[in-house]
Amino acid sequence: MQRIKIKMQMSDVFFRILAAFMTLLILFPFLWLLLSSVKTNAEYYVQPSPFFPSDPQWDRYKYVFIDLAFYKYMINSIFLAAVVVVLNVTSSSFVAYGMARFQFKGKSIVFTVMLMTMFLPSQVSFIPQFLIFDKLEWVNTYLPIVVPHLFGAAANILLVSQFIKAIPKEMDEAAMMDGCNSFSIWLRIILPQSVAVLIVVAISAFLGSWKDSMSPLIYLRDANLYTVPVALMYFQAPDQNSYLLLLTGVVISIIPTLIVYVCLQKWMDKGIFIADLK
Amino acid sequence: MKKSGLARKARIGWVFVSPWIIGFLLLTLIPLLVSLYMAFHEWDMFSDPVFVGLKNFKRLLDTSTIEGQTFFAALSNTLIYTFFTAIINIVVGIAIAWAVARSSVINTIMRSVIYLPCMLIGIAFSMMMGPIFGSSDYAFVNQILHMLGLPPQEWLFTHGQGVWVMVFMSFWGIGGAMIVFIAGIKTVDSAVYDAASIDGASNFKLLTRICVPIISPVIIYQTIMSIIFGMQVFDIAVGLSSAGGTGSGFGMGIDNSLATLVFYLYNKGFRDFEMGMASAIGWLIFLLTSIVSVGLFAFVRKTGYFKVD
Repeated sequence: MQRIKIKMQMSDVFFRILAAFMTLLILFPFLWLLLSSVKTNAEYYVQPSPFFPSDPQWDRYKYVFIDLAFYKYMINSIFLAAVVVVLNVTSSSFVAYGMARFQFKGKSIVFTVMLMTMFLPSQVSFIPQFLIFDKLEWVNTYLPIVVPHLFGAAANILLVSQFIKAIPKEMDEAAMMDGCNSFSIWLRIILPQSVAVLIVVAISAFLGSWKDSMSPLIYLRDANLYTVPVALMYFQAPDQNSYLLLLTGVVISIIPTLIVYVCLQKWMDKGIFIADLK
Repeated sequence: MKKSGLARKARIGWVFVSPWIIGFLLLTLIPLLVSLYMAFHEWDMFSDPVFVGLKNFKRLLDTSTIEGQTFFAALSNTLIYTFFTAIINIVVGIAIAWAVARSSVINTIMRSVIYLPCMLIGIAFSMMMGPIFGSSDYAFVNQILHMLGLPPQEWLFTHGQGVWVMVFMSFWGIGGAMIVFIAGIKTVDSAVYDAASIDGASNFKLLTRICVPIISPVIIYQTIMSIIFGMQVFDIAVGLSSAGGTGSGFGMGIDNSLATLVFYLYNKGFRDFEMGMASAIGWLIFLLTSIVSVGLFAFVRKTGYFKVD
């Protein structure tokens, strides 16, 4: 009995140490990035580089944020993500209602194709999509990035339709008695009833758009339209510190993520991000 | 009367589903076919497309051409990355999930930290790793090597090494898998664990003998997702290849050290404007991933996780 107890503690300790080690490992680059971003050139480009900067260059943050227009890229990114969220949530919920509440021929084919698109690489269609958007003269606008979200996203549709199925049908029927048509049932009953799952969809759409680098890299040419990833990619500073200024830009790009993250802690902790498992 | 009501309902159903179908046709199916057409042509977007038959594919699959060498370098990097990232995600992901699944303040903090890198912009994430793994003599790892009296390494510029930096970076990306596994672990009735631990099972045995078999569908799902996302790796490679990530700022590292399939497609299409070649690469990615996905997809359907009704 004694031996068993010790064994239990041993493996418990192993997992504790593993988790603590992983946490520190993951934190380290953040810390090193932050410290590097405020080191002077002389302190960064030296071996060995001191761990803590002796004269932190905090004014770099103001320079990158204001003078190098990172505030603008951030506004662009957030604006784009907000539009994507609205379009994606609305269209996904709209289609999900059709999938959840109506029986029609070919529904199972639609379902299967939807499921398949989740597993297929989208890159194969990037070149033709570019040609289409180029013909429409949409290159160098936000349209090629936001318009695809008008049509709903398969994963979100499937997730929301699972949720809608759990809403009692009696609510629809009662509304229909009151003279509501299908569209107003969706708008007045289904949308408000599925807020919980729509928040999940909204979060994932927001993050997807905020993190997306490929479409903005392909479509945005004008620096005024740049989103944060593009701005980092094409970062230029008229300064010999440019690398350390870039690191400052990277830190700045992380800050909104942190804010969103802290605000959404409640949702995260419920593991709700992966509700699509069920 | 009833029948026409049903038909009417079916029509309304189609109306609701139509946005997705239109989107599928316009943004997936038609582009897929156009891309197939393009793959057999040479086109720089300025002159007219020229039909070249299988030439694009032949060049990509012939290692005596530059395209072939690059393609196979990208393929090998992508496969190495996909394979090891999937393993890291599953093995480390489960272990970490097991370690922090129980609700407590410290576990919540650790979970949040571990998930944090998953929220970053891919390019920012790899640029964050620049001062650690970068090829500059002043990056952290090279500083350590210097202290140990070893020569600095040009990780990202050496063929066959850049991809291992990408693989290693997967340890920072296990948060997504962790969250999925925590959810899986929590679906198991705690009485099952209690019973086993009263019988003297160690924490490790609880994980490997009880938890893992029960959550195996979740593990399968996560494996599929890791493979599919791994095959499409793009932004961390781009971030590492940029001037900011490493100080190189051209192409896909040196000697294709950071080449991945999607990165190669992006370069051919949107830097060189060789649309035919890029489409051919796209189709090779598509075929390769489809073979893997369709197999896995059939498997997932069998597990019954997704149902029409």
